[in-house]
Amino acid sequence: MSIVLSDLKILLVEDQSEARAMMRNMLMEMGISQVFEAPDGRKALSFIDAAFDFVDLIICDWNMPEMNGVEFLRQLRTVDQDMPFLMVTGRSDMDSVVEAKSSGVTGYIRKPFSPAQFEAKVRIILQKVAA
Amino acid sequence: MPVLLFPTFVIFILAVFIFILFWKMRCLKESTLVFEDSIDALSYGLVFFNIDEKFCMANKCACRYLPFISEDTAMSDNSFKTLNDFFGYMFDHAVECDKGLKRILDKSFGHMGEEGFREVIECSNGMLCLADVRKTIVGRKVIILRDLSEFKKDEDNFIQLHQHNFELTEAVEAATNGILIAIGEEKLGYRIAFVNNAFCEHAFLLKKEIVGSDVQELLYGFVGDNNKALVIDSFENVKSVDFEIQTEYEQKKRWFNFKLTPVINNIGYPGLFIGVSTETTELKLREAEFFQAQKLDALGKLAAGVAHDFNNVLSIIDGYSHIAINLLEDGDTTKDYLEKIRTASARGAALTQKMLTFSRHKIVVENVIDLSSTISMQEILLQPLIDASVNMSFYTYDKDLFVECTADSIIQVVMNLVVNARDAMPDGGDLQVEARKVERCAVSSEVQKEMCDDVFVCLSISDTGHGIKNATLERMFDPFFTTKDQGKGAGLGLSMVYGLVKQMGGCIDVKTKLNQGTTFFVYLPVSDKKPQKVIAGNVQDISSLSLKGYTVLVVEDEPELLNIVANLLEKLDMNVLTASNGNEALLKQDNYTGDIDLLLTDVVMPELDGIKLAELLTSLRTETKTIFMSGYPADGRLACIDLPEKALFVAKPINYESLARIVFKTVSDTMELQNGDLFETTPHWESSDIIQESSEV
Repeated sequence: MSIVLSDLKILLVEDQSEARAMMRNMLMEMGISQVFEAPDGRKALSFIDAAFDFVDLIICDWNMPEMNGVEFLRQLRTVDQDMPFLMVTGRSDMDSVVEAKSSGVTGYIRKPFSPAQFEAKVRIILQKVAA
Repeated sequence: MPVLLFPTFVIFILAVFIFILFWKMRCLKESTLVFEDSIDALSYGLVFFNIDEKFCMANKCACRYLPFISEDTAMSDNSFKTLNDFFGYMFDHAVECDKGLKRILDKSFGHMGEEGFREVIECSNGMLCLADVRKTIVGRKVIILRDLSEFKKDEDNFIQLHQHNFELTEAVEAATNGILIAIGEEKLGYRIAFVNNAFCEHAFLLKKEIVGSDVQELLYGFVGDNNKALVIDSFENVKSVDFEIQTEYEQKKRWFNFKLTPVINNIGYPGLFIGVSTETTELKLREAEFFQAQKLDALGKLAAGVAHDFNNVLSIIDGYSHIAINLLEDGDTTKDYLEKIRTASARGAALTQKMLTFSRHKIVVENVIDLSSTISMQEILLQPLIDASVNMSFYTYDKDLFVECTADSIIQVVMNLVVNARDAMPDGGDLQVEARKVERCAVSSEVQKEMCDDVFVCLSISDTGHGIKNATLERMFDPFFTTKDQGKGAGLGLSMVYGLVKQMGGCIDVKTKLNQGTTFFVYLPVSDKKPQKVIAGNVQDISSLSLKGYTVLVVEDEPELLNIVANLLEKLDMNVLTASNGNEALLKQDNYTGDIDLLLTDVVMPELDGIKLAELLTSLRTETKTIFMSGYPADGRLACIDLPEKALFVAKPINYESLARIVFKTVSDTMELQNGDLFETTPHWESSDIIQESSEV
């Protein structure tokens, strides 16, 4: 199955607006223009509730107020087992990676990352889901 | 009448005589009986002999001891009539008695002079008797027989006591605690009666110097001025004191716990003082180590926490710089400034990585490297870092120094230590990097505690520089601790080395002398596995080439060609991963936990072309080298393809020999290129129409 990046709809969950805008830019550089944004897990969850199966991929920061990334993912997995989920975090210790994996992320990227690394991770996740 | 008177007188006199005689005889008999009774009542046996040495008499006790003699001469045994007979008996029944008993006998009965001799004999009923042969004034011989059963018991007790005492003394001598006993009186002072070897060793004194000396004076010297008051207090107020002391002898610090206890005797006075010193140096050092470990752990946690937020900030800086760069036209000077921001942010990211390396706990590394070959390869790479005034030399004394770690981490360790060594010698000197195997017995006790194996790999980096001060030694592995000028070092080099060595299951030992130099010893456990990656063969002989353990990812959308290339590479003993397009290749590498040493990719592919794939993949795996392959080049030129600078390129149709050669050269050079951030390495191929640098394209 081929992946056409320009057709993708992505939900970007990140509390820091600069970081959100930066990732949006990176995604647009990849040719992905349909990017939806949410500032925390709670808002993202209500977005998913309203528009179920609408997005193809969720990119989410770990540390957020209200509801953090892991909590959001746990709640998401109760309604959607297969939604591709890329966790973005400044944490790079082994325990965090293990925790993220065990809570059901599809992919994991450490900050800081280059646009190339970001694109590679997005592609890996989409390929994983497609395969 | 007178005639009658005379005989009457005579008769009277006679009668008086007879009466007196009878009376005397009666008295004599009486006293003989008294004498006999008296000697019979004695608790020891007496045997009398006449001057002519004939048996005269014996008392009851003697008869009891020697049943063959009788009190009555007439009734005595025929064989026992003279002194000689008795001597015969004595010598026949003499018992060998030891010095202890002799001493007790002499003490109890006085020394035997020339007037006689003594022998211990065994009497007929098995009883031990002491037979003393003495001469009376008139020349009679008397033999005194004394029952020695009690003495025998005493002697046994004495031996037992002696043995017991010996055992106790030995036990006290064998004790690792120092023990001191001082005897004396309150008013006259106490003198040391006994010290064991451990105490002499603790006090750095000889036994003969201690025993007999005044205890208070000795203790003042031992416990130091700070604790003098406690010792005085103990003696004056007769109380037990317990305190800690620190000694230093020949620059070796030791800690002791000292307890001084008075012992009250039966009349209520302190008759002796007992001092016990217990060495606590080990405990102190353990405590210090524990404290240091805790401190480093806390710092590590702090560093990890900072790194997390720091990474967030850096990602925004780097991301926006990148976006801004893309918005600008080529040649815009702002672009250079932004590139500088990106470089700085990359340095920041590297810094946080170092902090995390320090704080990370041991991780399982499947990789095994040969330290000797890895180190030897570093020599060329490190040379440019070293000034000409520093003479750097590398030695590996043993082969097969297999260690479980990545080559990259060991290179980091060596590089940091070499740079430190260089900085310690601003005026030049000798720098030696050595690798060898060492036996357990050859390393310091601190290292022995850390490492449980019998043999380890030792990597040592020594310089002839200014040495390290004691205060620095204690803190040098702390993150952010630096002795370098501001801006010259972040203080993370050694903490990263520490973290990496810990992760490898090793430990670090430092020997330093001010103004003479420093040696860092890195001890690592020897792996029983062999390195998986082995480069073998000569480029001139294609069939000899082997890249055992190296991994290549081949990406080609043409299934037939993919198969052929994969087969060709398997001939080089490589692990071959295959993917039919870029996205699949990305997923393949994501699922592969080991290193991918080489990406061999087609240039033109649907969805994700080879050049973009190389960019994405190398952004995730910095160790991966790339070789492009394509069928496009016509007459040696690549039309319409914008290959990155210094890219390696293989033209289709693929020829096994050319492919093997370029793959071998690229992979075997990988080590060097991994450190590309330090050293510009330009691959230069002597061949051929198939390998071209893009600049020629």
